[in-house]
Amino acid sequence: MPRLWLLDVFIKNGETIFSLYDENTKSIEERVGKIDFYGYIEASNPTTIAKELEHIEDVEDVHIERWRKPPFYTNSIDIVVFKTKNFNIYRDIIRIGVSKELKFVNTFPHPLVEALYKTGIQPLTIVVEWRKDKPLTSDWKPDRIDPEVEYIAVDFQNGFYVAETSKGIEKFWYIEDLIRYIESNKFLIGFTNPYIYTQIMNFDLRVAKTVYRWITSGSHHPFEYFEWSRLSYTPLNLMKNITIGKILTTIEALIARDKKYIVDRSYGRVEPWRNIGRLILHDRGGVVYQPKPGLYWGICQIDFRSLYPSIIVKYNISGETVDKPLCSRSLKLTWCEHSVCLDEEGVVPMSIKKLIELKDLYEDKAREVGDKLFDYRRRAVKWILVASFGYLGYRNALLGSVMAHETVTSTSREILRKARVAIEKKGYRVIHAMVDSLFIEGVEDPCECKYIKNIVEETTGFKAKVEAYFLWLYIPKLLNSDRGASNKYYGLLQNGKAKIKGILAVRKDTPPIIKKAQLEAIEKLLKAYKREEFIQSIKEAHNIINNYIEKLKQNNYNLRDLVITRYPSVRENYRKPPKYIRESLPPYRLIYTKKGLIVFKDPTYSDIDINKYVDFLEKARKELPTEKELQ
Amino acid sequence: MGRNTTSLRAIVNRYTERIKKLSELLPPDERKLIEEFLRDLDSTLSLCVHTGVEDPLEVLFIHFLRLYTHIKKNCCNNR
Repeated sequence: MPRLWLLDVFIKNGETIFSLYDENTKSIEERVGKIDFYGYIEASNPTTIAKELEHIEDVEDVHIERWRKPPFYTNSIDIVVFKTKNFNIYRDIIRIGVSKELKFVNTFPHPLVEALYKTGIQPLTIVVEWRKDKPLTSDWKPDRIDPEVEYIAVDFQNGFYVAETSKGIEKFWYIEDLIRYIESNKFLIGFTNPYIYTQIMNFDLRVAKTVYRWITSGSHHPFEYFEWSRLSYTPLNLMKNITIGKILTTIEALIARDKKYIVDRSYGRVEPWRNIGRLILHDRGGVVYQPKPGLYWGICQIDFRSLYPSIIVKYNISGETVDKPLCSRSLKLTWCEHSVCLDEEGVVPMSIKKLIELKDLYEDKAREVGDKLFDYRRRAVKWILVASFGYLGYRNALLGSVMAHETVTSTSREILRKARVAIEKKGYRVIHAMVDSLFIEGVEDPCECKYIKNIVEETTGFKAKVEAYFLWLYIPKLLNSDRGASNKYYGLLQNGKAKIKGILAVRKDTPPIIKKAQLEAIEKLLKAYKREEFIQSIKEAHNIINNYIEKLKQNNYNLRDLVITRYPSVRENYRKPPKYIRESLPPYRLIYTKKGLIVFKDPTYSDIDINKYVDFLEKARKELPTEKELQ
Repeated sequence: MGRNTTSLRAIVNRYTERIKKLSELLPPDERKLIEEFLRDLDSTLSLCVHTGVEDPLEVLFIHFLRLYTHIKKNCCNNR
């Protein structure tokens, strides 16, 4: 049976175009449709404005509604709501209205997103039929599979352009080869980041047309994008430069619409004045210990499941519910200086409650079916949940506040405190804690780990899971001091595999040769199941590093293994930009030469600054255990 | 959130750096004891992240209390 998918929706010359994808023929049909766009005007004379709008051709409906005002949504005001199927008319009304100093509210998200949401047309779902002037899509069920599309996701790793397609992974050193590959295949959708896209377009503009739709918000998997598109009613065309925060805010704003809450950027929730002592006490993040560096045996790692989102849901934390004046049912949290209003469910908890359930469902599905699809979807939802907390305190967040942010972090610190007390009462020792993770020493086996997990759940009332059971865990020192690194560790798991976090071997900007050396060294350590074996393997691990240093000194290496991959700094705001930023485009492919860190352009062995790479290897060595520290 | 304030760890570090510098002027046995006092300060700092402190010196004070209880416990055990 042929399956027709609503792949995309976009506006062209004022018309709404629906891209329908036939899975059997792998073809796209673009159909012109009509859906209602909504506009909202806050005015002191709503009746007059409504009457004026009624006379505009193509405006189908104008009426006045009562909407609640931010920041706490206690007061209601009259809002003029108009509806039109003609996007050009919608845009003209906004343009002329702004010039006449009318105040338009609910301008976020894009009117197309709201139009789809209100019509019940969900992108990336199956089209049941074309009814009148728009598609009728089926109700989406999370266990359904996604459309089979020819896609390409391009990333830049270790100096190579890495192209992932449904057929597998290809690596290209030269951009010309990547472009040839893209042109020789018929990809429907291309995913990459804006930097790689610019490089491709700089080289050959035709590639823009070779692929039906380019999405340049990062080289995520299509299944992730499809999930974000469905959840936020944002068609792929509007996802070109979307951020995860924007996806979350879109979901929240659509719920705010249902509740008739005005979404307006001009309102803020200003934090109260505080002295420096109060600020130090309350203006803090989650728990991050300074662990003692060294080797630990029998370590159980317990993670809370979606801790921050669960706190938000359980305590109804949202910008408009925290420290709300005129609240009849207020919950004072003893561990922080804020209170939460329970009169009404907040927009943020409402938005993420379903996402938490969805993430758990995908997690179960991924385990049951073993299909990667559900794992990608789980990752997509997890990303939104991670952003849900971050966006609470973000200054541009529409539905957050600093007070809400602090309420979440203080609650998380209290939960981890309770968990630690309960665990240590049973005779175990918590050696490290990191936001929502606890590392517990003195655990015999994974079964005991489960027992501790149950204690944590019972004590805190929050769901937890056994993330890992380490036969041994090593916490390295910081590279510039003898203190323990809070975000770096590696260890041997019960199944013989390793879990590695934060060290040079897993960092994206580490040269491949350093990664290889450190991973080989750690592999030697991973053969040790007992303390004596471990002490013996330390020497072997250090020998690996020594061998790599020798290889470097003897020019016995591949030059491409020295590449350093870099992207611009987050804000692209350099006081004194390095030379390579002025000379090339990101992503940067760099190498240390005697002239410094420069763009990789056919260097010779004599150009290379070997000492830099030896220093790198010494840093890699510093993340390994030493015999001395085990004595 | 670290928007306005330096992290607690960074502030405490400044104290310890000053104490370390000062200890260099002291006789070796005294210096050794001070270095020992500062050695496990990170574990106290970790404890303090749960409840927070209004004054960073609280961390050093709590650490001192911890050390005092250890010393007292050892003395009692040795008696």
